[in-house]
Amino acid sequence: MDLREPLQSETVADVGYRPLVSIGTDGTAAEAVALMKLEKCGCVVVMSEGRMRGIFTERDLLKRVLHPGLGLDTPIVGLMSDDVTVARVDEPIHEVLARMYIGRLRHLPVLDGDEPVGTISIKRAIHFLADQLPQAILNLPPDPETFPATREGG
Amino acid sequence: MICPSCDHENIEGTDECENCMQPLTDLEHAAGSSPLERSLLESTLASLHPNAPIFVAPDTTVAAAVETMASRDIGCVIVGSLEDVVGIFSERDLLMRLADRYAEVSGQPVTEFMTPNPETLDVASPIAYALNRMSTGDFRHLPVTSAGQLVGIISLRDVLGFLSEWYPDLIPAP
Repeated sequence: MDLREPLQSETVADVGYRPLVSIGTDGTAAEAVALMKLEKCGCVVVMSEGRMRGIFTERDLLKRVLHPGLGLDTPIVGLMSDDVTVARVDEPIHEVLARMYIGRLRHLPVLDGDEPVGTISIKRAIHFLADQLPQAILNLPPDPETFPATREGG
Repeated sequence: MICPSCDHENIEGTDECENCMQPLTDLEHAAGSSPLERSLLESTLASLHPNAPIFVAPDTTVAAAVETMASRDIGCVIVGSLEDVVGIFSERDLLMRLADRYAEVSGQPVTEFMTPNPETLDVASPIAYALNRMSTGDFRHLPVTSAGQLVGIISLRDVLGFLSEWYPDLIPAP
């Protein structure tokens, strides 16, 4: 099994993505944090009038809220990134991975036309690719740690 | 054939490892497949060039750990030392365990919020194991050890780097 073919032929829709988790532009950091915790996701998309205005990630929480010591009542619009790198639902997964690699990004919002429909993570994409490989490769051995590292008695 | 469990070198075609009895037949089967699969089994974590771990002491406060993560631009810190890894503290822990009460807990020790005793992999393990752990476990960082000492951390991004080396036309390096 080679991964060239799936990287080129499988789309974002094939790989799968997380359904949209979003807050409005009138939201606060507290609302974003509550939602990210509830959904156990690393980012929220910031929306208004049906359009994406930005994205707020775990990284932004660390670097723009907690580290500078801002309160969680800070409006999300001042904390989000508004220059958003996106994935399109019908594009091949390698394009998305390339963008994630170059941009050092872990999550991209997924757009269907102009409409945000979800987010895709590097983890999801890698998991998908790992699933393409024969299980013999990934499942051997079940747990190397449980075996002695040296010859017994040696 | 090198046993993935114990690194013992066996005679080619052996059914099980002479040292630890781990079956090798599936490995032999897998090793006969594509170059990518062979590389996943034969290249070790060392070839991913694990990032040097950044340590904080167990009595470090949450605020100081956050300061380290932000200023070093990293997603996690190792709590403890080279020889004694006590835990790992990541952006995910920040979000899930304390972000909504940060002001209250920022002066508390990071040990109260870290993930204790993280899973580790030996630097001589094949990349396939890391791929397996990262895609089945719910973590994006994996501490890497050598002779019991922590030598680095690999992330999902490093796995992406491996794919980039294989398919530079599809996933170009930055």
